[in-house]
Amino acid sequence: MMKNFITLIDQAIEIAIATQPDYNPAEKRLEHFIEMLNKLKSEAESGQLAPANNAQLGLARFVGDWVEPVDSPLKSVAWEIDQYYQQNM
Amino acid sequence: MQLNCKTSTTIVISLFATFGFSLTRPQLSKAIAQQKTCTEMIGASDAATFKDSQCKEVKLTQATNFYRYHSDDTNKFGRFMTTNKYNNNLDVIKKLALKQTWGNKATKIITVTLPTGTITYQGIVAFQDPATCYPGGGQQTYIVNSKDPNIQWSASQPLTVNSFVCP
Repeated sequence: MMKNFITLIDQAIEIAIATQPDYNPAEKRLEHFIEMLNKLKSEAESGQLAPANNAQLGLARFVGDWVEPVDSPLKSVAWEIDQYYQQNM
Repeated sequence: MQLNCKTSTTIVISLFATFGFSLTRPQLSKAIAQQKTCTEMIGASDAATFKDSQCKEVKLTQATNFYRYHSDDTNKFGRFMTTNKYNNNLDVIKKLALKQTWGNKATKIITVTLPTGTITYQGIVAFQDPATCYPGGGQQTYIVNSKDPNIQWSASQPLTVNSFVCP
């Protein structure tokens, strides 16, 4: 279960990094998003991830404010992580 | 008798007009088919930012002002805004459920003027976890294209700022 969760985070990090060249360097939200994904991954790997208690992480909500295009794969994977966390962790 | 008949007909026609029963069956089917859910209109992840994933589509008939709250240039621009004007950061963080993990401390306000014809999606802000800190409940307006060059973003004005604590 945790392995699947970390796999999703890795996918998100990969997409986010691949997206970086398309963004204005002034757009710090993508950078912050990658930092948060790495933190999340680290917490998951060390067993320090807080239980979901049916809550979401808010990744897709954060990304949805600014990501381009509006149907970006980054938002899709962020939503998958949110859903996975809420339903399984 | 004739008068009664006319009166009845008038009442029936009025009722039909009032309650919309004058649609023919094909028209009614079309109208029902056009009632899309918020999720169908903007996708599940953006719909989930609205309470109960419910929003309505509103096409602006005139240029309209909305507000957006931010703390630096990083989060000044974006798709989410509100009709609610708040005077301090604590109300903004709670009512708009701005989870502080993501960095928007809501210390400033800007006015966003959307042009005539803009399609907006409007509803109530959903809570974010933990709901005791981020209950939501404010008005939320979402637009798909925040890069529209006809949108006017005002200069930022400072809000009253107090320390936000979430246990």
